[in-house]
Order: sequence, then C-alpha cells, then structure tokens
Amino acid sequence: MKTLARIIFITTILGFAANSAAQDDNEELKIAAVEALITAPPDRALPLVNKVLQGDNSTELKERALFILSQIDREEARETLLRFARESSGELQEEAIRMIGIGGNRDSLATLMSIYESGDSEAREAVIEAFMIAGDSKALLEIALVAAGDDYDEAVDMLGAMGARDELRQLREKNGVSEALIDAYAISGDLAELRTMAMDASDPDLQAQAIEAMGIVGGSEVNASLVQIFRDAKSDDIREAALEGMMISGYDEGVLELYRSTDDKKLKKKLLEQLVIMDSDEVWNIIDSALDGGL
Amino acid sequence: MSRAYRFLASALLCAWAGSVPAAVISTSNNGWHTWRIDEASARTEMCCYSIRNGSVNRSGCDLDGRGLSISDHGDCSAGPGQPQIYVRIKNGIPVDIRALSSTCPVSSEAKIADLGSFTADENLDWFRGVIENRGLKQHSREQALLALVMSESNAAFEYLDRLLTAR
Repeated sequence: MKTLARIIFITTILGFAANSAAQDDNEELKIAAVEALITAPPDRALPLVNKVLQGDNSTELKERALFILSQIDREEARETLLRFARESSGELQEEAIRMIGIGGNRDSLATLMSIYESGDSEAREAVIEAFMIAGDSKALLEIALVAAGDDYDEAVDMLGAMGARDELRQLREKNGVSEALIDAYAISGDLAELRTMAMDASDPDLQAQAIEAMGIVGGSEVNASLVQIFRDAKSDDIREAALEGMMISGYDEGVLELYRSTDDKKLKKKLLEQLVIMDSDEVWNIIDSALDGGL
Repeated sequence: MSRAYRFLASALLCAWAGSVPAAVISTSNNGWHTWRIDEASARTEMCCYSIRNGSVNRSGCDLDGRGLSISDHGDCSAGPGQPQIYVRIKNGIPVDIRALSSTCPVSSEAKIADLGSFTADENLDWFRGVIENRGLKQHSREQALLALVMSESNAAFEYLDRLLTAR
C-alpha cells in the first residue's frame, strides 16, 4: 500500500502541482514543501513533519503532513499518527485514522478498533474507511457484526466494494437480508446469492430489490434470468423489478423479446415505453415492423 | 503568461544569475539542461516506470513525454545514483524541473545541455531562486521544492524548515 501510495503521490504532485489558486502564496509553498518531503530520507523528513503538526498551521497543511507521516517507515512516525488518531478531533482525527489505513501497519490497524468503539460517528466512519483502504475485510466484518444503523450499512457497503463475498454471506446468515446487503452483493458481483434472494418471496420488497440488483451484475446469465423472472412473475411489483433489472443491465433485446411475445396491449405499451427510456435502437425495429405491416 | 509578466520573471531570475548554473539562466539557452548534485551522501533511485499488462516495468524517462510516471521505489526505478537535475528553460525562465537518479536513462528529442556538477550549496542557491520567485508559475516552484529535497545537505533542510515555520 505504501509503495503504491508513494508512486501515485509523486506522479500526482509532479503532474498537478498547480492547484488551489485561491490559497495564499505562503500557504501553497508550505503545502508543496511538506509534500516534497515524501522523497526525502525519513530521518530528514520526520523532524520537519513533526514541527508542522505541532505548530500553529492550517488544518490542510497538517493533513498533508499526516499523509507524509503515514509514508515514513519509523516507529516514531507510527506513534505520532496513532496519537493524532486517538487524541485529536474533527478533520485531523479523521485524516489520521484514514492515513493509518493507507500506511497499512498491522499493529496500528488493530488499534483502530478501540478508536471505533469510543469515537463519534465521524471517527467511526473514518475507521470503517481506513479498514477498507487497508483491505482488512475481517475487521470490517467484526464491525458489521456488532454495528447498527448507518455504521452497519457503511461497513456492508465497504465489504461490497472490496468484493468480500464470504464476509457478506456470514452477515446474511447472522443478520438476515437487508437493503444494504443486497446492494453490497450486487457491487461484489455475487450473483448466486442475489439469485437466491430473488427467488425468496417471504419479503416481496427485498425480493424485488434483489431482482433489480441482478441488473447491476449484468451479463448473459443475468439477462436470461430476468426475462424468465418477468415471465414467471405473479405480481406487478416483481415484473416491474425484472424490467428495472433489464434496464440497469441495458438488455433491450430482452425487453423487445417480451414485447413481441405478448398480446396484452397495456403491457406492450409499457414495454415500448421502457425501450424508449432505454434509448434503444430496438424501438426502430418495432416501428419498422409496424410499417411493414401497413400499420 | 503575459509578455510583461514573463519579462519580470526573467529579470528576477537574472538578479540571482551570478550563483549557480549561470548558463541555465541565460535567456538564449532555451531547452533542457542538466546538472548533477555533487554530494556523496545524496542517493536516489528516482526514475520513470510504465505499466503494461498490469505489471510495472522499469524504463527510462522521456523528457518530452506527457504525464511522466516517476517513482523512487524499488524495482520500478533506476539503481541508486546521485541526484541529476533536469531543467527546461523557455524564454529564459525554468518551466519544467525534474530530479532523477544519475543512473536513470533519460532521453529527449532535442539535445540536453550537460552543465556538469554543482555543490549542494550551489544547487540550493539555484533552487531558492526558483522557489522564492513569485513571478514564476507555482507549478515550477513546487517542482523545484521536490527537486531540492533530493539533496541531503543540512543547508537544504534548514531552508525547508525556515520555509515551513515562516509566518
């Protein structure tokens, strides 16, 4: 993580160094000086970074200093970052927490759990982001297993973004299905789980959401399933969800197939509307067919 | 940059032209110039890399290429070498500054004028002139800061310290 962060950072400051035109010249120069320390030897950079953090400097300058600190492979740098994560407040605390995620030090990451337990909602959110940045799906699962409300949803979102399918399945076994979990399954591309939920009619709202979410995964297997779900549906809500899924996956051919296979005028009108919404060229196939038939 | 602004920047640069690589500052010498920082303790692996088929490859730096990808870390860069400074002069003022390892293969369509080597103090003098020149583009001044850090001299870091603690 550190290597990648350094490469991206050096490339970024070389390519896009001219930013924040509104900042005064002195502040801009200080920010550039702190950022330049990323290529300095750690023993040279550390005293300067510490001085910036201890001084009466802007939050932005201190935030940049915290990033440089996360890239310095010294115990003193690690301890300072942890101190800011524990003892500071507001934006600086949140940044220090995120920087621990970027730094990726296992011992520092383990300490974040106690900060999560005692922190306010912003600090807790930063801890969840830090674990995501560090790719620590086990820690996120640990949080999701005890969290509620926004914290739970946030942790589940992050697990989805990480593609942590095993952890998401454990959550379903323990907590049952939720909207956040369905979204996370879709983002992680876990079609098998989504299909299971799409077939479960015990909660029609969640079933419909799972069907729609299949469209996010997309692909020929999903498309065929959505057409079949539409055909087998026993309620308008499920049909609507299957259509939404096809719209999300961009499967206009499926909508056209359904259009051609039904004699229900009301349904035909709806499917045609759907094709128009999808800005589908297939609409013109229908118009051409109608013209060929003499209208 | 307007003509008047460019003239002012050029004039300010000429004001400290007496110190280090004076040849760089001459308005008649447009194009890339290079010099090495003659400082035994300063070592860097800074060089360019490319990403192909998902893997990072070592490669030299094309100074004319856009969006140089530069790193000083491990196998995607050159071996340790002394800091080698590259400066592109346009209309008499520095518009691009790169600091690479002296072992990094560097190319440019135009000739790169090699000015030899300069001491860490001479180098600091030149970079101070760029960093403190408000007539230059901020981008150039920030690149100068990044290049200055390549020097491990006490004077360079004392200067940075003063810059960071200035009110």
